[in-house]
Amino acid sequence: MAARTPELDPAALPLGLAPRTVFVTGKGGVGKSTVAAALALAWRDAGARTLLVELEGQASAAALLSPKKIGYEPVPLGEHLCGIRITMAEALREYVRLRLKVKLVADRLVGNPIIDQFAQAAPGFRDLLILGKLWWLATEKDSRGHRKWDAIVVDSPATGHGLGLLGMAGTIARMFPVGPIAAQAKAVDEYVRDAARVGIVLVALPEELPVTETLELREELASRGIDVAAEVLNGLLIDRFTGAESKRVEGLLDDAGTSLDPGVRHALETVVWEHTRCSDQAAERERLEAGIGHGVCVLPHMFVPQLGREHVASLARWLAPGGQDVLLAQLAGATDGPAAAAAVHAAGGAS
Amino acid sequence: MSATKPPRRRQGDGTRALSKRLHRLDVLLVCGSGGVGKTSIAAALALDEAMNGRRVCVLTIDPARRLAQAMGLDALDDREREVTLPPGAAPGGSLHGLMLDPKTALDRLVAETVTTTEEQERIYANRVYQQVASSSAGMQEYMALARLFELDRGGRFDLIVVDTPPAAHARELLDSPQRILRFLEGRSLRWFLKPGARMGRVGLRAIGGSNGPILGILSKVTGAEMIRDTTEFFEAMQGIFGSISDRIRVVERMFASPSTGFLSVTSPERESVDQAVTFWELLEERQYCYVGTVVNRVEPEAPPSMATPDELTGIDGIDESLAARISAAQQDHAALAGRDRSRLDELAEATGSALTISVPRLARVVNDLDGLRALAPYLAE
Repeated sequence: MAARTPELDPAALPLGLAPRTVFVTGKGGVGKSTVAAALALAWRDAGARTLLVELEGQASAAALLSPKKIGYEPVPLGEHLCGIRITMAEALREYVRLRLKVKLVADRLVGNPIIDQFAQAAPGFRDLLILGKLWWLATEKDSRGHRKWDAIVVDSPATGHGLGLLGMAGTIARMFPVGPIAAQAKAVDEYVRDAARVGIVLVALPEELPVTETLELREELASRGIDVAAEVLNGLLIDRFTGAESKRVEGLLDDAGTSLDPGVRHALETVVWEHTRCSDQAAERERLEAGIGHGVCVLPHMFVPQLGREHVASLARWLAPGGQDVLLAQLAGATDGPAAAAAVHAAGGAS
Repeated sequence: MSATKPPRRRQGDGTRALSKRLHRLDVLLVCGSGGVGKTSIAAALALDEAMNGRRVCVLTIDPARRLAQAMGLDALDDREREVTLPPGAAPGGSLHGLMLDPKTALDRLVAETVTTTEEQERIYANRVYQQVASSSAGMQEYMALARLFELDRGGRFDLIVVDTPPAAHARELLDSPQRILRFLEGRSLRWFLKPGARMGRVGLRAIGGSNGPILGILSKVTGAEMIRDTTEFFEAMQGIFGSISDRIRVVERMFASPSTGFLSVTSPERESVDQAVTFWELLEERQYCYVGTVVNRVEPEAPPSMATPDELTGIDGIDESLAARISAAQQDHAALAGRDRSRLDELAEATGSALTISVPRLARVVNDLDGLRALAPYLAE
């Protein structure tokens, strides 16, 4: 790790959030890993020492930033940016070692079928271990006594399973009011509930079911006393065509019947398809913002066959305040709307 | 208005074959990663089979209430609800929807298998039971299997379509019968049921044999309370382990049966396609019946020659600026179409004789029976 402490630029903070631990979650397929990687990059760019966390069984978010293979120890993915992958077995081994302070016994204990069965069977033990590790990382100090990480971005499981993970600490603390587990569960629960230290970033797509699920999840989290720090609406198409233009093209298609050249027909159908999608997406965005009571952060749909590192870097720039201003103006149909939209599509990133 | 084309001939043989294969099945497990439209595909297939005159039940264990929305029902709960079929259904056909609530499903299992009220109350009161019942992890897979068993045994349905949890857990779904069986019959459970285990740390230390030191260490790590509560839970549940084991064996046989099929749903995205291939390999290895892969939201193929901006500008009502944007949009979509085409080819090659069925991306999201009906031509002729 570089010895120099980076300077934090408050004006460049993505999502308007001061660095903290965030769980990036949402329905399956909404782009959680992509948003997590972009957010980690954006925080790093704003001057925060950032750790990107992957969990076992999840897609690799770090692979979107670096070809390096990551493991249970933080691996540098760039300046002031590291990645880590938390597995159940490693977390268990580490926990047992910390409790017993004897490495040999800990190693023998992990891998013992009875212990493994217990870890599998004991309700929530697994989730508690993962949360415990994150809590430990969030409080870890460097040699000079400073926090090692300003920002921790966790690419979390999809909503159904993620909810269980986040609610777990409190549940365990209530189930086992005394004993070593209880002590940790209580500390972890306090950490998870501290809005200044931990937040949830909900990722949604501008489609009916993901939006509905996002609104439901917000309520569910609120009822458990867990704060949602920000919502990100991913994959918004920037309309290249005005309503009038789409209508005109639709009329051309209707009039022409079957006489159109296939290339031209496909081109015109593409216009109608894109504009229809954009209108539907706008309606869903409105519904989401009305349900939440404030605006959400937006990210553009990327017309690329396969998302690469350069695209995630673009998304990180869109997450920063400057990028958001540009995107929001275009979604609002700024004066040069279609032309600017074309520029967004072409550049795939903010200047 | 829709820019969607009818099903392509290229997949024509595949779709006919799908409907043929479905007719031979009693149970269809629809698997796939999250967000690929698995629920819609499962519901569309169930609806189509019902329209063809079969008695169909579609079961979801997805925690989100998506199936209810897609089928136009207000809510799905632990009981199956009948869906009113649109006009034109073949005689005898019916469609039911069922969404599991893990909490009530587990309580029901206890109520059905534990005879005395006193025993039942003891189980409900156990803290570990409450935790297991209210947490989603792991329990859903099991409850789905148990419920599948009940539905299948009832003989009320010709076909049960199961909308499984997302693919990271598909393997869990397949493995859970074995895992639970091993657990119920294995030595660790017997260990938890040993009389000494519930006595707390002193008691644990007192136990002789090879497990003695381990128990002591374990209690030091987790606290004696956690072990005691877990042990009590297993003791309380002991009475119903037998019936759970019975059901699990039946479900295992059902998985291996030639009248049970697995259908994978994927998007054209790299990760999703790779997962489908992995899943196919897993099923091949176990010699389960892999029906095929539905690739959902595929970009329709672009024509061999695109419209040039000049060509477009020549059309009445299209100026230079619009022509340039139309052309750019077409290029973007053609690039995606090319990618999707090669993903489909890769998939077809990797999964051998299994079907590869392509469903195009639609301008509008499927959220009602009409939308589900519209998917049918792509899935089954």
